[in-house]
Amino acid sequence: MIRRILSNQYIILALRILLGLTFVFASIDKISDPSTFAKAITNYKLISGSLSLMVATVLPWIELLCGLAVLSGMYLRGGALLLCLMLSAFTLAVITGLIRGLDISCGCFTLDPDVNKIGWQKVFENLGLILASVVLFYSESKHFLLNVDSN
Amino acid sequence: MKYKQATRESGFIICAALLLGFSYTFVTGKGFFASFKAAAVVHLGATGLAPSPINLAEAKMLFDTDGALFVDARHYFDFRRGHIKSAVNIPLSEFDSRQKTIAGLPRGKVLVVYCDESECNSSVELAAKLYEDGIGGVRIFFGGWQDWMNNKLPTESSQ
Repeated sequence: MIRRILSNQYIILALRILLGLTFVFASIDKISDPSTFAKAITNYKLISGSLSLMVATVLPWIELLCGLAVLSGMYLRGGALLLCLMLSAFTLAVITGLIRGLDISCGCFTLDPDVNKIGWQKVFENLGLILASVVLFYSESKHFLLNVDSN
Repeated sequence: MKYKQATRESGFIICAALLLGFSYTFVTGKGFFASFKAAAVVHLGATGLAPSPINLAEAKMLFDTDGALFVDARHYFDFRRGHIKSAVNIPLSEFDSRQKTIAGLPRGKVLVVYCDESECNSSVELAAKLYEDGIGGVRIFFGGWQDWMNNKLPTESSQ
């Protein structure tokens, strides 16, 4: 059953499009305004302001490149691995924020502070995306990839 | 094999992201490099020099990096209708009755004082009074509320 999913070219393609577009779109707002993204990170009260600024400078680019990697199929496994790690870290940050009772914006897809507040729904969304990235990591489909040889 | 390949690819993606992220912010003066510029301004403020003017770009830089507290010198009525996000209100006319607020202003952090626009004087007078009270690191944002609002920068209202 699992092997059938991992080698089904259409399921894998759908997951690649879902994860790829999600992260490409999520990165654009953050790349254009890293300072606001840094503030969104600081709101979680997990790391200092200067460190969050450094994270905000690089993280959106990792998201963009990972999104493009899984969309195109180039560096699919590397992209899926990084997405899984990032999503796990984001989910932990959201859970700790919820436990501490923080009423803050997620800073996930838009930097608008009035939308996309953190909540348990966000945790479940992330868990779904983590599952998708794990499936992509272990996928065996060689269809619709830009570099078939590397898989 | 899978893990080795994934590690190699992840390393490449991270290196490319580091290069792109720092190059982009260096060229555009955003994010990480904006903080360097702001740090220079903050350093000037921290030395306790007399109030000096800053322009919109510098004010925005301090705002973006959380490097300053904005002080609105306008009347409470105007402040309530709209002000720079997170600013505190110390109307010039109420300077003496606001001693509690003034005593609570953070020391060692730049204070950016502003009023309505470049023609108003209350920001200059309030900055001078704060300086006389021994508060260093005061900057005057001459463009004021109008300049900030016209550039669609973050604001809030208390209504």
